[in-house]
Amino acid sequence: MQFKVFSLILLLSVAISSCGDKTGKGDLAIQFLATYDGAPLVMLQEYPYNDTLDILFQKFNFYISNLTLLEEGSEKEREVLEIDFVEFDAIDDVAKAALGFVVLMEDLPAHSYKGLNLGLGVPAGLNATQESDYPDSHPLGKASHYWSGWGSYIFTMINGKVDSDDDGQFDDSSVLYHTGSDDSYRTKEIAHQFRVEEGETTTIVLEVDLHKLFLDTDGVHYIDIIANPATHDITNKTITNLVMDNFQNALYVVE
Amino acid sequence: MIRPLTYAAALLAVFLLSPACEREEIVDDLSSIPYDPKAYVMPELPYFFPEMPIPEDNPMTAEGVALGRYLFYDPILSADSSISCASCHRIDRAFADDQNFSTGIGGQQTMRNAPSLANVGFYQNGLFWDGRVKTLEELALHTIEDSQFMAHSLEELLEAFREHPDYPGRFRKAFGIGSRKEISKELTAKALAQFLRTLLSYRSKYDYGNWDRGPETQFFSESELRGKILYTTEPVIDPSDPHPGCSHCHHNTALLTSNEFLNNGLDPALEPEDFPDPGLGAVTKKNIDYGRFKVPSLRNVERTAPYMHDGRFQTLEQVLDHYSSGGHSSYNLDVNIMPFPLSEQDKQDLIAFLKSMTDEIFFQENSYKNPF
Repeated sequence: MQFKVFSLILLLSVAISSCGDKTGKGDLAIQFLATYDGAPLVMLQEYPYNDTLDILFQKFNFYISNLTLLEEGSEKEREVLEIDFVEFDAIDDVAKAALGFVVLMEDLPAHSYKGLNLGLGVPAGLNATQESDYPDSHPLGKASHYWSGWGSYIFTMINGKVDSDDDGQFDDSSVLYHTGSDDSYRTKEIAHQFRVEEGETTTIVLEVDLHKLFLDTDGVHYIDIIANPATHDITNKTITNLVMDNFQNALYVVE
Repeated sequence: MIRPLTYAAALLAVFLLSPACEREEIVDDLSSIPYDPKAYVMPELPYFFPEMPIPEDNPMTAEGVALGRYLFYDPILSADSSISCASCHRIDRAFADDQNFSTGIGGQQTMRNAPSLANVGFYQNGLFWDGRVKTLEELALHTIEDSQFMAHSLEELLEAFREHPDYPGRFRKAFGIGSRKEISKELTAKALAQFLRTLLSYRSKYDYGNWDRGPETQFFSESELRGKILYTTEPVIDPSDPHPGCSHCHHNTALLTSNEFLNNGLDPALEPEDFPDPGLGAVTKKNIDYGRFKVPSLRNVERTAPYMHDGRFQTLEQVLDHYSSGGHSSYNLDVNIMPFPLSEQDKQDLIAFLKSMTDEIFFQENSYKNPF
């Protein structure tokens, strides 16, 4: 009887002490870097858009969702993140651009993985909610990123200004490329061997080239942003969907 | 017969004892005062309102809110006891100010116009025009201490509370302190924040008309409906057909703001130092943030004149003229600030819609009024 009680106490002690135990667990950091034609993306810095236009950006941000890790040696996918918001809006110099924006997932099982899947935008279930359903601090609680006219979150927000007369003043036109609605949601699978090590933080670097988001359907030229300065027309999502298609192709892992 | 020496000794004793007796009147121990706080019951807000974030360490109680309300209206908070929070945040102005630049202690002019506090409890993305603090608790202490506003040393203020005939008991009832010494700046901040979180505006025509699932014409006049279309209209594909699009920044949601910090073209600036007021830039020290200010909610905008952080516009007509002009050019002028045509009829319609955001019940709410 005494042994049984002792065993029970021992078991309880082990159970209690294992609460918060990080044995066999590690962290995964995904470091997002934004570039423009391979150069670090810095807000308010001038970049050539095409042969005749220069552009600068004030905002570049997007939602990522349903992030899963593909386990090595099996078909198992481990869901590690439902939704997060990645933004480069505060990057105002090259040093900050090199740091990018980090999404950290803690206490993942130490394991080898062969890749990851992630959603670009807000998946339909969550996109059926609205910003008032969340506190301000939640990624989906951003009033600035819910577009009631579309009944959708703004999946990617690209705000820029254009100098078309080469006078150095970016006051000729604005670019407001905001994507959203369920049919603009995209997923991206990235093959990449990595291991989450126990007690360590493993970092994967994902880079997105913003200029590539503006590629036209021929994949060579860029969208006429003077004729199409905004993507707010709920009845015409051609550019919205094109931008999201481009986003899929413009995001890649830095080995 | 009393001898002269004995008489003198007795007089001396009376003299020495009398101040001691006065001191004894201030009883440090507050434990005899009942501490039985009741949870503050928030009104049921319409479905389109977000949940207000309440800090775990500052749950709202009826007693805490009551204390905060007294503090809000009490000039004891300022160094010279000349102004209270309510001096600049006037209920008849939706808790904003009618002065271009609000007045701090000693009649000194502050840098900015006091913004409305309606629904302030919902905002977490930086408070004040320049986002200098994140929480209402921080806001409360900052306002008391800042030399432009109340310029009061917190230690002196706490001493005044401890010696006050009424506040120690109120702190006891709100927070269960056992002695006057336990009155702290943290509790002062908590009480003020609790009161501020009760300032809820949600009963305007805009609320009923915009969110009710019935026909809009039931609530809005023709002019208001035309104004609403101008306020929110999409698409804006054709650059030759620009539109006001107020809702890009003053979102067509419960809070009527994107809760961002933006440069809306009030001043020309080629460099950060060109801005007469650095705004958010003074807080973050980032060039991209100079000249950026918090996008205010348009709730009760009819009653919150003058407008902008420096109160430069006295009327809504002036505000609309500014936006219609496209604002002044600057290196970080927000992309949404672009010129657009605005007829006199458009202007009247837009203003009619803006006035539908006035919540008359908010101004009459007894629990917001001066308790003294």
